[in-house]
Amino acid sequence: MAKDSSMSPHRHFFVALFLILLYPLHVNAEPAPYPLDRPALTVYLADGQRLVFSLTQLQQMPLASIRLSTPEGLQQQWQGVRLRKLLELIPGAGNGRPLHTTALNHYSVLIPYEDIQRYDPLVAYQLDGRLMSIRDYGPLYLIYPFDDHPELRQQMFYNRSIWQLSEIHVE
Amino acid sequence: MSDKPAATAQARNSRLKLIALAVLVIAMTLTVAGSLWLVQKKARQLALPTLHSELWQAYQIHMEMDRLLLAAQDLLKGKMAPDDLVVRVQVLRSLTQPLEGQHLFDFLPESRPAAERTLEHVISLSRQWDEKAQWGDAVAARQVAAQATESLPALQKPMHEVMVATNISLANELDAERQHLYGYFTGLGWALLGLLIGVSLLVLRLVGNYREARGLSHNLIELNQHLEQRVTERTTELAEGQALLKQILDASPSDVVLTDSAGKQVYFVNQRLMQRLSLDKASDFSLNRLFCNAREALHFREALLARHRVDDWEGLLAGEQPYWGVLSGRLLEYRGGPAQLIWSYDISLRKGMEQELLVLATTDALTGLSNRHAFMQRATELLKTAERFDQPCTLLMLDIDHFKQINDSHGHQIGDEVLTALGELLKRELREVDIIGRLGGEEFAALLAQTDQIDAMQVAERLCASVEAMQLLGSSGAPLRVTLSIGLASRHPAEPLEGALGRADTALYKAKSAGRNRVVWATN
Repeated sequence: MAKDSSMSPHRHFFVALFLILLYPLHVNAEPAPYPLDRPALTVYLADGQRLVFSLTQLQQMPLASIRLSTPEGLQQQWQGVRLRKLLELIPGAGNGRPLHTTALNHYSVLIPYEDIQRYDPLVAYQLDGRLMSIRDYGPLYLIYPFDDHPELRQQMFYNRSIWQLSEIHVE
Repeated sequence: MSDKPAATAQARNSRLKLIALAVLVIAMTLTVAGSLWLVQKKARQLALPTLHSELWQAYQIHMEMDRLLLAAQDLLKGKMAPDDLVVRVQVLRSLTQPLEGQHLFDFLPESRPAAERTLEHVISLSRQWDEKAQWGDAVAARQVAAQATESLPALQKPMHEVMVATNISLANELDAERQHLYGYFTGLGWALLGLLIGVSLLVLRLVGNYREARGLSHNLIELNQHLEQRVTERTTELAEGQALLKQILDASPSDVVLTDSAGKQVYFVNQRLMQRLSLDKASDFSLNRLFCNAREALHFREALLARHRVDDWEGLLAGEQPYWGVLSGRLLEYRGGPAQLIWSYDISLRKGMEQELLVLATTDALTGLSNRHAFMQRATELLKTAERFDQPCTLLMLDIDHFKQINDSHGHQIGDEVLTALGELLKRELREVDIIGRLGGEEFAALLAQTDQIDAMQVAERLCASVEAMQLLGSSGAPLRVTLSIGLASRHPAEPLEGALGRADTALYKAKSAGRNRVVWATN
């Protein structure tokens, strides 16, 4: 498990994922990584409205998945709800304006509307069938389909693949 | 011998050039290969984005530590839910986890143990707190909050030091990478320069080669043209030569034929011979057609093959009419094999002249009888035969009486007429087998073959009578009386002609003395 001195988010990202795979070994005895009913995602609308979603609520939305393979050659299956689908359920969202996303560690990034249309990223809450703790960069991870679109392998898109997603601000 | 060292020097020179060229090409290939390998290695590295986020990570930890402290203080004051603290603890843990193993300070010129210790401490605290704080466990949360409020304030400034160190390390790392890339580029630059020089050299060589080749090609073309010209000239010469030869042979007064040694394949027959033998084509010729007699043809061939040359061979040749020809033959080589060259020349004329000459040499012009020389020869032959077969033979010596007087009185013309008449008479009266000759002036001789004395006497007397009976006219037109005196001598065994002649001559003298116009025998 060699770690690069130059820790790119990309590498950071995949190394983290690798670590995540090992942790489930002693997670079995532990309770849920993130409380299912605790607010996981808060959506702030342009008019000041606030919509809060828990993991349970998100799990009730139509399930989608994206497959990724790490540089080490491991396969990952990310499961969650499509961001586009989520926005459909929110009045006022999906209006073509970019989304401001914020993470639990106070990182933030702008997701252009074209990305949502073209690449259909996934708000993932499950990796290989397991929920993710905050420690493991969960509970929510915005996953782009990197394997399906080679043009996504740039810093710009790695930056947009935000982990510990907690807030979405709609303009 | 003198240009041998020069040749080896030249050879060595060109070999050196070749070696130099080979070395150049190898060097260039290696350069290109090496450069390509380096380039693709670096390209692969640069294909994926790498961001040096160490500083950001350090900063994030610093900020999260502050937030955790605030959250802990809020929890202890009762202003925050325990689970919210758990969130902060877990977030901190998620930030410190990747830094376990510590590679933030690898590029510091001098080590900062304090920063390393701080980072280690922060990491171990976050680990402890993460293990302790669980969802829904308020007690544990409070405990963690207490610990946090205790230890975190003291770590705030050291954490800033960690950030400073990280920044310096990062800056150095980035510069090291820059230098690395710079090295790459300069190296590549040199390689490319080297390649440029190499390529220029090769191009120069190519140009040189091309020029050389063109020069050679030019030379070759010129040579070719020269050669072709020469060949054309030679061919023309040859053709002219051949045409001339043919002309000469055709114009030759001789017949010329060239065949192979078997006589089967005919290489050349000249026009004259073709016409003479009425040949349709040269291959119709054969030696048998040339000669009248096939046997003679065979002899000629054998002679030619045996002696390899034949000269002045007289033979009867075929033509519209058979004619005499003189032939020459040579054996020679033609087209790699033995061949026969035969000339023949028409000597009918010569032959005719030969005959004439013979006649002239042996006959008396006036009377047509054998002259003295011929008579002697023929008479000697006859005597020999008579001697062999033991046959009688009688010699007559005849002389016109008073011939001088006739000549003086009637002129030489009448004299000649008399001689001619006598000659004719003799030819008439005597037989074919008898040999008659005019020995000189008015002297004649006759050798009667197989004639004994009695018959000879009769013949002689008849001759006398006939001569006397000749009706000749003198110069005045008056009849001219001519008489003959004859001396006879029989052949004696083993007696030469001169002997018999002498005896007959003596007898003739006696006849003259006795009054002419008579026949007298030799006494012995």
